[in-house]
Amino acid sequence: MTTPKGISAQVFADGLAEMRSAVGADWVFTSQEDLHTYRDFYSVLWDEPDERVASAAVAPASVEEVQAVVRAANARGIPVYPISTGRNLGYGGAAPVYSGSVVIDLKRMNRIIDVDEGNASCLVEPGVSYFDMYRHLQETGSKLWLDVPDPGWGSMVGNALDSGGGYTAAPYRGHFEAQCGIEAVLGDGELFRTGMGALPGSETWQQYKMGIGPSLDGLFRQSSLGVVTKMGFWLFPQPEAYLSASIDLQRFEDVEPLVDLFNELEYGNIFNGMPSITSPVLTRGNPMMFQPVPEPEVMNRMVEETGLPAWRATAGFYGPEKVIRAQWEYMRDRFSAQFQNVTFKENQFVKLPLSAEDMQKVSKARFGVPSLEIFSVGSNGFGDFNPSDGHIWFSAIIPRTGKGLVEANRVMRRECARLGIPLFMFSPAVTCWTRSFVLFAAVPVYKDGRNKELRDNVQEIIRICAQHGWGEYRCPPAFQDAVMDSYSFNNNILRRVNERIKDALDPNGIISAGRYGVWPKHLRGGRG
Amino acid sequence: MSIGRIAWLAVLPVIAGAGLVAVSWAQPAASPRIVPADLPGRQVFERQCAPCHGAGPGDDGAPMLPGTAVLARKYDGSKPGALELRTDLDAEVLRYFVRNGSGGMPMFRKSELTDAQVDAVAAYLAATAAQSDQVPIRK
Repeated sequence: MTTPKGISAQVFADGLAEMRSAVGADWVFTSQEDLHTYRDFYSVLWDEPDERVASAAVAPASVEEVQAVVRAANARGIPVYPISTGRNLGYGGAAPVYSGSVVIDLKRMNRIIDVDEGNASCLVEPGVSYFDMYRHLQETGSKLWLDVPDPGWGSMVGNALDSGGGYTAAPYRGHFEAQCGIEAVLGDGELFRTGMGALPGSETWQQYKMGIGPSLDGLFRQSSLGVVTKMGFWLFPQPEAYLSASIDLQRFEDVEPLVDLFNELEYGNIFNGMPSITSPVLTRGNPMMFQPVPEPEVMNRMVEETGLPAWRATAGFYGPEKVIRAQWEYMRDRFSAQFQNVTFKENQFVKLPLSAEDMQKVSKARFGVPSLEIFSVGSNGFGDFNPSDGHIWFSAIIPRTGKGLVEANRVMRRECARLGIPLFMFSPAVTCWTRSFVLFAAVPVYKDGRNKELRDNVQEIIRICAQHGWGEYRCPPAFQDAVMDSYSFNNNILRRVNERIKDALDPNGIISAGRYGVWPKHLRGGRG
Repeated sequence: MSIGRIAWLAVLPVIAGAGLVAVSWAQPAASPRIVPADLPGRQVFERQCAPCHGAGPGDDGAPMLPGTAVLARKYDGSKPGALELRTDLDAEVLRYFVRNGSGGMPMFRKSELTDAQVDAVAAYLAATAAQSDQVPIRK
């Protein structure tokens, strides 16, 4: 049996025995065959000596069992790494950040504790997947929607804790922002609740996030401070209708006023669906690959020669038909008043709930319907698809301006080309958050030893982005130290404060060592 | 451009965990008739496997779901793409793929699918294939 570094075989065996007595022998896994299923299938370290692997896994079914497992680990200094459903592929999967950790697999904690139709909220355990919740809402005749990522097989809790996002209306797309109330087991086994959950007898845990004093929900986002065992979310009352509509503009120079006006309209609640700004002329042939933005005169000439617009802004609207049609009309008026040669297109209008026929024609995630159909990416003739064994994401926050969009595109495309990074998807500026742009690049990973160069190159891209003030909001474990390093204001005070909190709340440093670059004291020197 | 393709543009950037596999849609000559067997494994299959390996069409107009499509391409007519039409997936074979993954599909843990559930799915697939129309096998 592999033991965690610094833990004797005897101590480890004692710890596992205590965990077995808590959760039952069937739910403690130590065989290589079982531990293989806890590897990150898309790891950039696959089969290399530094691959992050578990020494054991334990699957509790209740809060009390989680507490018992954590206490058993804390008493012996055994590192543990909680996962919810383990489906965070591209960002780490079910594998721990610190090799040798015992994975606490929360998949069996799959209870939907409450759905409050009037409050449009729910309270769930970490093993509840988006599919589980969708099925529950359908079976109970609920009029509530959930907001889903794509694919939808992950955990509502796990996705939110890693800052995942979805595709419906603005208040629900940022999944951590849509949470309301967290329960977590701390490093010493104590049970903690945020917000109104701290007030016994409160009926408002899923209504008011803050409670009293400093708001501590953020302690558990991308965190190493606790094992989250319950989480509340706000759900979206099913709207009457959905409209998707686009605005096309013809000149390079339109991009800055376009983004400014689009921002004003979104921030002013004129539209509430997910915005997208792309360039038909620069994505022709392959909508998955936003080509480098050329100089203005070159791009304008391309527009003339191809007849394709320079820019396309797409907005979504959820609400009563009368309202969203009026909102779209107002948007058209505003763009017509400000731009020449602007054209408009209504892409899609559907009444809700979706009919069976509509369900076959829409992107399900836009309607809160979980799906795995995104697995077919690359199959639709989008051009330079690069077959691989998996992928990772590079996801940098860039300025939400036209200038920022163009500069980030040019720098990233130039540097990825220089380094030979084989992108198979490079996004236009899209975001699930209302106040930011994210530049997404998908990078293929392999299981045949090609990943070393990839890792070096991604590290270089992280450094280059940081020089421009662009930082990743989420990344695979292999890059979490580098990304945290790039948030370097005042001699990395962000990481240092996180370390102080870590030392205070988890003095034995057992929970999720190294997650997002925060290591416990005893591992800090060598960074794990 | 279809609505589905427009949707991809904005859908793609926020995905995490999509197994990206190189497939092109293999158009079935005729849709086979799947008659689901009334066995406990049916619910497990429908919940755990069918979102990718079911026989339904995709929401972007593709005629098959991704797992079904990639298998159809892999076997190029020598075996059905839909698992519910396969007669060669006994429990041992199924368990191998479930526990080891394949291509872009990751492995599944026992906390997600117990061995007994995998066995139940195998029994369901065998019974369903036996009572469903079979895709002609190309020799």
